[in-house]
Amino acid sequence: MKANSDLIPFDELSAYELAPGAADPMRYAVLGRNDFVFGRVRRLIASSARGEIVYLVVGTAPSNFKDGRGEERLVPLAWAELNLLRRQVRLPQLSPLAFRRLPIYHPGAALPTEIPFPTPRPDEVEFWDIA
Amino acid sequence: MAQIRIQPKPEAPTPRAAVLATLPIALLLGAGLATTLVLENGRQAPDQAVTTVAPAATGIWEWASRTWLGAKPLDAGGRAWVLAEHPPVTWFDEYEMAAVGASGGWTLYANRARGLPALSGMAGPYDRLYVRTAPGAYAPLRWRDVPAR
Repeated sequence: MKANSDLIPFDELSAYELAPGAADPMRYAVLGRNDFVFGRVRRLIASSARGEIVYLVVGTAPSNFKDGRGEERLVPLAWAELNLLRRQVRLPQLSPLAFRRLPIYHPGAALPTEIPFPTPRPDEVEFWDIA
Repeated sequence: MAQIRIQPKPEAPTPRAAVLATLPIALLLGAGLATTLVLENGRQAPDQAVTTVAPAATGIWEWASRTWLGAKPLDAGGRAWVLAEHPPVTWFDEYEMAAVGASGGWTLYANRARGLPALSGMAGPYDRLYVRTAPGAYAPLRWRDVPAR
């Protein structure tokens, strides 16, 4: 994962605003496979060069995880579906284990240019489920 | 899949209220600065400017008075300017009295300090119009109904 300085938290990008009519997913609940609650959207990471929001920072404080609450992970927005009526971000293809393999967000640190989808390894429970 | 576009914020227009509040102050400051810088003789300059403008202002004032009174026929419709039941006023400054019209062989005067003569019946007990009865004495007039002659 290469670092990219073009990616900036949207709240620090004072010269930009959301396009008219675009939904603001801040504080939306983030749900994964089988409606597992990952947490809430805490921050938006934008790319001014691409002119769009690239990542969601998902805080796991209100999540269904038994451990690891309070960490923040980066989720590419391109994977997500927005449910505006329920104020939800849905990631039906992302299991709880896969979410735990997404990069942790450190404020101020360099952000990855791309995040590969976390496919399960053969030694993991999920892989056994698929098989 | 979701996509959220962002765009540069449009250029913020200058708030109109700020301009309206700033402009008169800036004009006043500019005028004061110009008076100080451009006019000669320091603090006498404003007095000179007033002296220069005074005749023109007087002319404008007298023209306005004539125009205003001229819009209304002084001796028409069974009404006329008649002497009010009041002794002549002697405390007016001669300089402030201006001839603004004539009626029945009398020259009508108005007092600049008291403003333009009012239209008949609109303001003041004597309509602020006078005839000169003696040097420094002005008898107030009144616009009244007079019996047909």
